[in-house]
Amino acid sequence: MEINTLKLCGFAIVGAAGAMLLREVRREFELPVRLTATVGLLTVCVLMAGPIVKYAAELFGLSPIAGEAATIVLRAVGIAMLTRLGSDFCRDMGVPSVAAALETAGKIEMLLLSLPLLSTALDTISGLLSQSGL
Amino acid sequence: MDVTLILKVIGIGFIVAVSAQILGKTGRDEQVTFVIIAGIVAVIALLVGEISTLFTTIGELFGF
Repeated sequence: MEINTLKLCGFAIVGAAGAMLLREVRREFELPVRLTATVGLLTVCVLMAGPIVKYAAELFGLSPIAGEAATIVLRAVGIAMLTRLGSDFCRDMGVPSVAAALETAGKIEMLLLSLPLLSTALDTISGLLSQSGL
Repeated sequence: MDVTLILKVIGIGFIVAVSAQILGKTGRDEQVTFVIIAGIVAVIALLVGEISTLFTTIGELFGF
């Protein structure tokens, strides 16, 4: 899939112009146009970010300490992106309370995901303290 | 990213707007509501697939 900046700009401008026109004619259809433009552009962003994420995962894999944390960190980034997208969609539709609940759920899920890392860190710290005789 | 999708959504919006105006002028106000609802449902049906693709792509990228 060949993507260039000109196409992205064209897509964004068509979406913005359509949303502006429909706002004047019939307000109900402004939101779907905005959503379509946002979803299209974000899909391209995610597709473009694919190689970067894979490279970051490879770099994480080189380090034996960070290797096991890499999966957790990447999944946490994914959860953050998904909850942010979902909450933005909810805010666009005029329901900020659902957006806030979704963000809270995402934060709790990330905390749950990182619990093994936290326990590993605490074990390491307690091991160091016991070695030093404290 | 497909420009035809956004053009489809804009087209449906304009068709619904014109239809609603014509129906409103001819005194069929109750049908205006149905036309608007049908238009919104059609647009959402178009959008759901794209949103699903976006979320699936993010999920696959970050290892869900």
